[in-house]
Amino acid sequence: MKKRIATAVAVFVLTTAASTIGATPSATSKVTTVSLPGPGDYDPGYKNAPNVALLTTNCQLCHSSNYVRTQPLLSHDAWAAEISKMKKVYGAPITDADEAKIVDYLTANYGKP
Amino acid sequence: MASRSIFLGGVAGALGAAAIGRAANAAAEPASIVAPFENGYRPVVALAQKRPLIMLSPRPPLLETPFSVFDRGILTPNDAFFVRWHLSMIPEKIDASAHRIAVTGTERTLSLSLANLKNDYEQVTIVAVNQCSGNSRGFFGPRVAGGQWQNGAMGNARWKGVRLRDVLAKAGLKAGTKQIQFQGLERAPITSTPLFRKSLDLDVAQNENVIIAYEMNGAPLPVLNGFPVRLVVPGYFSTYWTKMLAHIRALDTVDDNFWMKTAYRIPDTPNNGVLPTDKGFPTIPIGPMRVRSFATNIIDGGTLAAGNPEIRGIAFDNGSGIAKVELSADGGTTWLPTTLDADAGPFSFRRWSTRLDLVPSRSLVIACRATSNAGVVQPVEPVWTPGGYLKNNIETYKVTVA
Repeated sequence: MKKRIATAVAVFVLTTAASTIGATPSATSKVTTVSLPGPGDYDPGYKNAPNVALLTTNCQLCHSSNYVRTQPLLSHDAWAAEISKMKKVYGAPITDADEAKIVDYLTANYGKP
Repeated sequence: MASRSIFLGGVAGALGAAAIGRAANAAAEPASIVAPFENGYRPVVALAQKRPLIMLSPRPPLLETPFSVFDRGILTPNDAFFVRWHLSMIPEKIDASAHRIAVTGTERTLSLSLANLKNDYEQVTIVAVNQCSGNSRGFFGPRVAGGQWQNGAMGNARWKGVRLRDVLAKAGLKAGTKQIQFQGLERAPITSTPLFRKSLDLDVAQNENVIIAYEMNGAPLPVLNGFPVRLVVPGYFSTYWTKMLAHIRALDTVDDNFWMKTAYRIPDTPNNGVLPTDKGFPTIPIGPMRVRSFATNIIDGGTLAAGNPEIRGIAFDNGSGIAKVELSADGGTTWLPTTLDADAGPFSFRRWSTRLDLVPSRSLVIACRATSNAGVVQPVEPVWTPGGYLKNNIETYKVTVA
């Protein structure tokens, strides 16, 4: 068990070394430029199942699939509430017909009965 | 590059420690972790100006600080500081000298440059914890939808800037001003999404500790933390700490935009919690943080060397400061005092430590409990809120002594 703690200490050192990764903008430079992930970057995408294209079309417009894949397994009602919110509050351009299909897709692939 | 593993412990869940991923090369094959709850897989990725962090989402970027970082000192390094955006169009090229903050709804309209902030106002610094409203949401039971953070959606930094109230004084507040609204540069890809706007009641906005900050731990802010300027609202959850601050509006009504009226609200009950089955209760906008403490050099499900090991961690509240942190080695039945480190101010993390006498072959539940100077003690039972906000119950760590 001492060995485990020694390992943890060694890894702390590595984490420190990792702190040198990534530039910090110079105080004198006027323009700071970074590159942030765009649509699809670092994004494994949705499970390939019927109607997946509705998600890549509608949902990926604004956010990564990680938003869905990291949620707990939600019920049909909970997914329906989320999609309703995306549509009514965030203004996602989802038709009523597609909304039902998206909720069914999410319940089947990222939900619980 | 040689294989390396990155220590990503500090999980305080009941289900055991996080699994630890492995990376040969951080760029080509990111390390990953598995948080101890459903759908807990997370890649560990270095995005702009950041070291490898636990990635909840690449777009908009949501990055969590590995908990081991909090064991290294009370200030969270800029490149390790957590990241949370709401809308995915974030400027990638920022000319700080061209950036302006509009101040409107006041007697005089202002257009503030960074030079204005640095030359025309008193410069102030404050050490303050910035914690996401949804920090620890993944540990809610029952689970709720939202960003599924462990405990690393928080950080502590030394912020430098100017007092908001000095800026408001220069602009001149009109009689009848009720709230001050803040808006940054982030935008959604579709115009039908409400702009991210947050408002503070006038008395909160006028507090001397609220600053417009252009520096974080002695350096410019990372872009992902709001370069070139962000609002800093010590003691309040991060939702009010507007990044890339571009517009300050004095309002003569209470802000009823989506981000105030519908999102980021908590139950208006005595402890702001409800039962998961409750419906129809009144709600209010989330506000001040709650007292919390964490151990930083042990992890749930981990091991401790027998003898006289040091246990240490951090504690904070919303600005009264930490009066004491107690430690239990019997799951909270009896409590021992700990020693508090130097005080960096009432809004900062406060370090605590003590030593335990431990014999081998025992399984223990270690718990830490903070009490604020306001006399508030962390509760044993977690508060449950529909939004996954306000978790601050006593953290426990099951460890084996060997």
